[in-house]
Amino acid sequence: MEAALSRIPPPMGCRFKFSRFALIPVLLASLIIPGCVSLRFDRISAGTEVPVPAADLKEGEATLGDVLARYGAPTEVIDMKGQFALLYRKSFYQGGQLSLGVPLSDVMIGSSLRMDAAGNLLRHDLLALFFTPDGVLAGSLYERGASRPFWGTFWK
Amino acid sequence: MRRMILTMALAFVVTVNFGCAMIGRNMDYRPIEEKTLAQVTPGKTTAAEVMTLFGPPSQIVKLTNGNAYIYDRSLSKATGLWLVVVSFANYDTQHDRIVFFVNNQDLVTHYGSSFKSNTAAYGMPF
Repeated sequence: MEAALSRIPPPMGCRFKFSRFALIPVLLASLIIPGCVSLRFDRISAGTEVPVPAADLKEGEATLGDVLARYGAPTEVIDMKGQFALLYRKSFYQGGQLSLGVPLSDVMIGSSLRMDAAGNLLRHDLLALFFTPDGVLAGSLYERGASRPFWGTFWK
Repeated sequence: MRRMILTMALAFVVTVNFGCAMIGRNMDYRPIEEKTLAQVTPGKTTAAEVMTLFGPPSQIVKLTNGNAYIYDRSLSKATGLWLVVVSFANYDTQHDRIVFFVNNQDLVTHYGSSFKSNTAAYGMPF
């Protein structure tokens, strides 16, 4: 009988010695941080890849038909009081926001402290093709902005 | 003690990172179909016939030697992820577009088309 009793394990107790007060910082952090600190990252892209100007579409030779067959429909058609332009554009937006706040309104008279920092960068790939009224290519401009580095461009 | 710290850390991470996700799809629809373009012949098709086939254009641009009729529809896909402290949002918009060039005699001289709305994609901003 004594041998059998000796095999029964002692009552379970907490294997760890910790103060229940140690949970307080965790609970406080869980409650406060979501309301006080937030980070937001956004990206918006609109439009398809802008074609690189083709070497065989020469100014003074290529026609409106040649350009439309090669590049498809433009994003925009612009009347230039005689000449006109086709615009192919892709827009690429990146933005971020950091918010820090201390909710003091519950414990103090007055409003809470809050600080926001935000930065946005909008870049474009752009191909502008200029035509004579008769539809002959008169000039072109090409800008590749979306591939520029984010930080280098943002702080420029 | 180590297990307690791990438990507390896990509880903290779970609580802070508990969030939700969202996907959205928005289409600005117009009945412009690629196969209908086969019925358009430059030099023969008139502006009225274009509008019979595709409906009223989204935009008309007045040019010196005629007009440009622009048909456009778009598809946007949005993805969002909220992790309480950190949130991510991504939007991608692509277009189907047809542009008809019509001369002063109301005949279609050229047209160009791009059908890219099916390339709109869900994703994350990183």
